[in-house]
Amino acid sequence: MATPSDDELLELMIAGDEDAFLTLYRRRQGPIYRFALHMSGSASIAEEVTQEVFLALLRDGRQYNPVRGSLAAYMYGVARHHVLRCLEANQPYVPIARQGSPSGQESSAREPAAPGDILGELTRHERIEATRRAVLSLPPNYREVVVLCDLQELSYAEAAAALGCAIGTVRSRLHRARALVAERVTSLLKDSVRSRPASPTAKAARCFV
Amino acid sequence: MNCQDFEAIVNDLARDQLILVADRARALVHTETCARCAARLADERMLTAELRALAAGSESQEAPAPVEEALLRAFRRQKAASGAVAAKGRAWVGAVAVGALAAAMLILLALTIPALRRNGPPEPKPAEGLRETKPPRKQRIEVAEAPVIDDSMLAGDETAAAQLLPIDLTAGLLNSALDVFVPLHYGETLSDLDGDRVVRVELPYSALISLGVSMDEDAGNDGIEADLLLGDDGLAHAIRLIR
Repeated sequence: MATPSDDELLELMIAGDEDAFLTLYRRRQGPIYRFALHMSGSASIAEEVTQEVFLALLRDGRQYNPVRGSLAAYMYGVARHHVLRCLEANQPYVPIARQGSPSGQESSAREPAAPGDILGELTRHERIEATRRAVLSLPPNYREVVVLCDLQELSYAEAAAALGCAIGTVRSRLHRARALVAERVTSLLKDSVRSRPASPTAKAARCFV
Repeated sequence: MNCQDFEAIVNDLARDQLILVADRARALVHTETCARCAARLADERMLTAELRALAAGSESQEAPAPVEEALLRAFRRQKAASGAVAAKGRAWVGAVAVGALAAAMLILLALTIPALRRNGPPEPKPAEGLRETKPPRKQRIEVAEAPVIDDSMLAGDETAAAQLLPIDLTAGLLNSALDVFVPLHYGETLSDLDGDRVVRVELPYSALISLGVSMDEDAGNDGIEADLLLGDDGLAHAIRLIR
């Protein structure tokens, strides 16, 4: 039996099919949660937003129009709305939440670290953390295109549908956002190097010179 | 391809997006001859790798189980509520349907009854010996004046009360009912019966007695011809005795 599409699951869910609701939830909650997490840097906001998105789907699912975009894009749009509202309400909030531990998939995205190359692994982790902070420091309109297109890997068209803007706008914002992220990563890494205390090994080396 | 054209597609190139094969080839050729654009592409690829590593690092993160449980409860509540609303809706629709049916029946009755009354009950076929005559449409029917009740009648004045009777019994004869229509019901005005049906019948004298007309003993069993003025309801409202 073919896997039902999101749209089919939504129809069934609206008709009262609990299994369809659970299938749709389990299929889509992860991406929505991570979108909210990357946008806010807060697990509690991500939970709240995920819940709100599916409650909105329960309440107003009939308002979804497939002609205007996929259900995923619709849900990202709802999530974005809630995230921005949460961010406005939590201005003093400083995101410091630590993301999950790096998985083995990271290695495939980067140069594979040689076994025992601890310094290389630490440097990689440091850069990823700097990237996370750089993304979080972006203005929301730039942050959302990076999260959708680069972290969630949506197409330009899907991102445009979720954000309610033109594809050209998504492209230009992404171009600018990536330039900002690169600048800030560099800046954060420089600060990190400057604030890093000299290692005991270095001191010992100096003592011997 | 120049540096400006390269800058326009460097993001798509670094992010492995779909671009024309020819554009990709020209861009890569350009990086072989332009160190700045080659470094730019390398930086963009590194950034893409870092962003993908960040995404991969959070790939296992999901909403905790209580969120699913809360949503499931909300789903069940909504389902129950919508079921109740649907049931109420069905009941409401049923009530409306019954009401509409009742209203339709009332309207039907309201339309049918006057029509039936206009058509009247099945006309009794005149018995043998009865002849039905139709007066001309606007034929004036002479009607005896209906008596009026006044205080003297209520006070028991027999002479005055006797005037109430449609047929002047004080004369003891049929004279008052001859050639003119006399109302059969007290107080009834006959003007609205103008032009209605007149049926000529032959009445036995005994029937006249039941109307309160005193008859002579020698009248025998012969009958007397009379015209009955019939109303819309088929009832006789006045009588005229034929000489």
